[in-house]
Parts: sequence; C-alpha cells; structure tokens
Amino acid sequence: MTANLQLARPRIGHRSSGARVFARLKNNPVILLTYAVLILNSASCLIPILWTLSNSFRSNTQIFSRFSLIPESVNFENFTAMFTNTNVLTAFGNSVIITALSLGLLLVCVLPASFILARFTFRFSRTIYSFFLISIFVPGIVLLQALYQLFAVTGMLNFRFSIVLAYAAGQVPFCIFLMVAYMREVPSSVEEAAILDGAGVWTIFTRIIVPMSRNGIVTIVILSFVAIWNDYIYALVFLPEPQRQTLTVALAAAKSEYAVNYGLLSAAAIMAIVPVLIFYLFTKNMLMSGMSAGAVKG
Amino acid sequence: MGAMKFRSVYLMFVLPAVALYAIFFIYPFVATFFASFTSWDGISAPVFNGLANYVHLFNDSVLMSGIGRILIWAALAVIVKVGLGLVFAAMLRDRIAGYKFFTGVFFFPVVISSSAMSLVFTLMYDKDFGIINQFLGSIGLGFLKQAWLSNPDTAFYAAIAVPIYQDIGFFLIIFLAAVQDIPNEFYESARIDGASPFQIFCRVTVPLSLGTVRVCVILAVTSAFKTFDYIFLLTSGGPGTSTQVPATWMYQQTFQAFQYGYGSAIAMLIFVLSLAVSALIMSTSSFNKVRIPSKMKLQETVA
Repeated sequence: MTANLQLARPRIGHRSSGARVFARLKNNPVILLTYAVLILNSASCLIPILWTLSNSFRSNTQIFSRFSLIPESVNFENFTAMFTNTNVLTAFGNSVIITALSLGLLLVCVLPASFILARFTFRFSRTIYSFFLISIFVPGIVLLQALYQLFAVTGMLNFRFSIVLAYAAGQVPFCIFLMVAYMREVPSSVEEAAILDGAGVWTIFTRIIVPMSRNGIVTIVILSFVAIWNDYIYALVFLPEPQRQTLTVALAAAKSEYAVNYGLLSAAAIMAIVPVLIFYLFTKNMLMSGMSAGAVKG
Repeated sequence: MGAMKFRSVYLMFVLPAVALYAIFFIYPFVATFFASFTSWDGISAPVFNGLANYVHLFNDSVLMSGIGRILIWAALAVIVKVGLGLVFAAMLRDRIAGYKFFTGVFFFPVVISSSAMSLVFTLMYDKDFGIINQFLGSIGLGFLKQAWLSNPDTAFYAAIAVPIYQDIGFFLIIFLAAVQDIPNEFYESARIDGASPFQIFCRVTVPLSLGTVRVCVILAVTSAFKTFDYIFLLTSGGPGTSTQVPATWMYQQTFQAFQYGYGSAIAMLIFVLSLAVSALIMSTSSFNKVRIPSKMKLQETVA
C-alpha cells in the first residue's frame, strides 16, 4: 500500500491563449465538436439549477406564464413563505449539528485507531485491520431495520442524536482504510527522531502523525461530510418528528405538503443547494481528488 | 513498520473505533442476517421459520419485477455513466482551455443531495410548466408532453435518469485521473502515425484505462442495486408498483407492512446481489489483459 496519495497535480500542458484557441477551432472540426459537446453538457448541469433559482424569485402565475432563467423581478416572498410555513430553517440547523457531531465522533474514533494500525505491527494488527475492511462493500441500507430495532430496544430512538452513532459507524470502514494508507506514508525517520528526543506515543500521535497526515484528514472529513449531509434514508427512519428532521427530510416533507406552491418549493431547493455550492467552491479540488482516490482504492 | 515498540495499552487507541463499528455496523448486519430466517412483526418475539422468507422472495412478483428493473437500471447506468464519463475524460485530458470550468461544472451535481435534486426534478418533470415539457413543445415535439412521473410507462425511466445524470461528473473525475496517468508517448506516437481522434479513443484511451473501467462498472451496478432515495422521493414506487425496486420494496415491507423478517431477507438479497456482481466483474479476465507495462513497445500498442 505505497500508493501515491498526493493530490492530483496538473501533469501536463500549458494553457493556450484565447487567440490561438480560436485559430485552432477554425481549422479543427474535432475541437469544435469537443467544445459543442462540453458546452451542451455544462448547460445540462447548470440549467436545472438556474431555472430553480429563477423560479424561487417568481410567483406561481409567473412560473406558469413562461419559461425564464431570469426572474421578472427579485421578489423574496417565496423565501419568507418558506421560512414561516416550513421547518426548513430548523432542519438546516439540525443538519449542521448532526453532521458536526458525527464528524467529531468519527475523527475521535478513526484517528487513534488508524495511527496504531498504520504504525505498529502486533499480534492482531492484521486481524483488526481486516475486521474493518470486510464490510466496505456493505451498503448502509442493509443495516437500516436492524439499526432501527437496536435504537428502539435501547430507547435511543427518543434521543435526537442517536443517529450520530449510525452515521459515524457507517463511515468508519472507509475512513480507516484511507487514513491507514495516509499515515503509513509518514517517514519513520521523523518518528525515530522524536523518540530520541524522549517523546511518548501520545506526543508522537498528536504532534507528528496527525499534523503530517492532515491531507488525509481533510479528505476523509470532506467525503464524510458530503455523505452524512446528503443522507436521506437514515434521517427519514430515525428522525420522523418535524422539529428533529434534517434538511433532506424536511425538503421531501415540504415537497408533499406544498406540492402546488412551485415558487416555495424552488426556494426550498435553493436553500439546500446554495450552502453546498459555497462548500463546493472552497473544497472542489480536495473533493475531486479525494473522491477519485477513494473510489479507485475502495 | 514504525520505530516504536508496541505495548498492549495502546489497544486503548483502537477501542473506540472497534466498539463503535462493532455495535453500529457489524451487529446490525449480523442481526439482519438472523432476522431474515424469522417471521417477525418488529414488536413481538421473532419466530424462526427457516428459509420461508427466501422462498417467498421468488414468489413475490413485485420483488421479481423490481429485480428486472434494477438490472435495466444497472445496464443503463453503465452505458451512460461509464460511456459519457470516459468520453468527457478523453475530451478534457489535455487540459484544453476551459478545463477548470468544465470539470467544476460537471462535478457540481455530484455533491447535491438526492433530496434537493429530486425536488428540482419533480419541478422539471411537471406536466404544465416543467422545463422538459416546455422544451419538447418549443422544438415541435409537443405530442411527447406528459406527466413523466405519473405515467407508468415513463415513471421508472424518468426517475432513474436523475441519479444517472447526477453521477456522470463523478465518473468523469475518476476517468480523468486514469487517462491523465496514461503516458503522453502513447498519444504522441498515435498522432504521428496519423490516427484520428476517434481511433485514439478506441485504441489508446479505452484499452489503457480498462482497470478503471472495471472499478466504475462495479460502482455503477452496485449503486443501481442499492439506491433508495431517488425512487422513493420521485415516485414512491408508484404509480401502482410500477417503479418499485428491491430497496424501496424492502422499506415498504419493513416499515409500512411490518414484515421485519421478510424485509431482512430482501436486505440480504440486495447485499448478496451487489457482492456477487462485484465478484463476477472482478474475475472477468478480459479486463486484466491490457495494462501499461513500463517498457511496452509503442508500435504494437497503436498499430
């Protein structure tokens, strides 16, 4: 497992200047076709979201009258109606808390365990590592009803943060796998130098291994964030009460409750998409490299 | 590995992860396995009934047509996601002008939640003002206008189109990393030999990224097998049972019909199907034939 986990860097190439691009476009139908396809697909990715954004500022009458990517006027009525009539705002807060707690618990469990599994060889180290890996292919949906029963029997269904345990546990196998790979990359000479200076195992863990594998930590946090924030089915089953719902469940509830209030529904969708867009703009490169590394190695 | 001596106290470091994972992952899995051999309403004590649930799986016409549906879904997912992902990756390989814009835009739908995406598409599929019907009307195909999600003939395809559409960017990113790892020499010598871009795609890009294609085929197939959200949110399995898939049927049987034992058997079926298909694809030797040897003769590869 000496796989190179460095972030993808530009491997080749140079950027052509605008003028040269146009010159090449004229002479080369293949490049023209390439751009046509790419622009068409960009449109298919952007138009649904732009259309929803535009509709979130329009009234039902305007939405029905014609298709428009630009709203006739910027009118926040749909947003105020959404905030007063639905629990989307509360649910947004719930999602933030639940996701943050899950990520915290996940790191507290995964980092020390990965440290031991990556830096030590002992009698059961391989067994424990394989124990974590066997379930990497088990889809979360298979565990749904047994988890529900477990929470019901132990009375944890009444506790709004029980779901955090399910979320964190669901991410453990994959995160251990990635984290062990990252922590093995830290050269042992750094560790040896620290031992000579009299550092104990805790110091080595907190001062050397964790800081030196921060790329890996950022990757697992981002990937787990997306998985937990976007989860629908666990939240649907474990948190049915309106005041405890997460954003994904609240959106679906609003969809059936305000089925004909298209402006309000568009506003709710925008309320869910915009924070993700902001997150995406900041973490785009980490997300892309993390997801492709995770997929190929997983 | 490390320079330190292991002491058994260090097992305390591993304990939280092992405990969390054993209680909330391994235990539920084992419990589901055992529950699948019982008749259980979720409240009273489960009653062992042997393989009755598994026999029932085969007599359950909704489940059987659901399996047919996920096979169609898996096939379409492989064709569209792997196909378009690879084509877009080949187009973007050379970091053409606009590279960052295109990859950024294509990947964005991947991070949107299934719930928000389903909401957007419910609006898009709307019979009267939905963007899809308006588009069809504007290009003179108005006769195709319909309520996409409530017509039993189109509902399933309309629903699975959403996750397939959303995932293309994810596959693009995986393939992009793969095709950018193919040494430039292959492309240069192919161009010198006068190969057309289409030939380069078929003879260089595809054969040299088969290992990644295999991973992506597995991802596409297993995601079709286990996906619950989109069907549940867009059609709830309806109209009738015309869009039920095993995942939604399991939810319906467990949490609405209170057949915990039978629901567990469906859950195990989903797991076994995913595992079997993954193992089958992994063992398919045709994916293993082509690799990138360090000193491969270039003429042989591109000839």
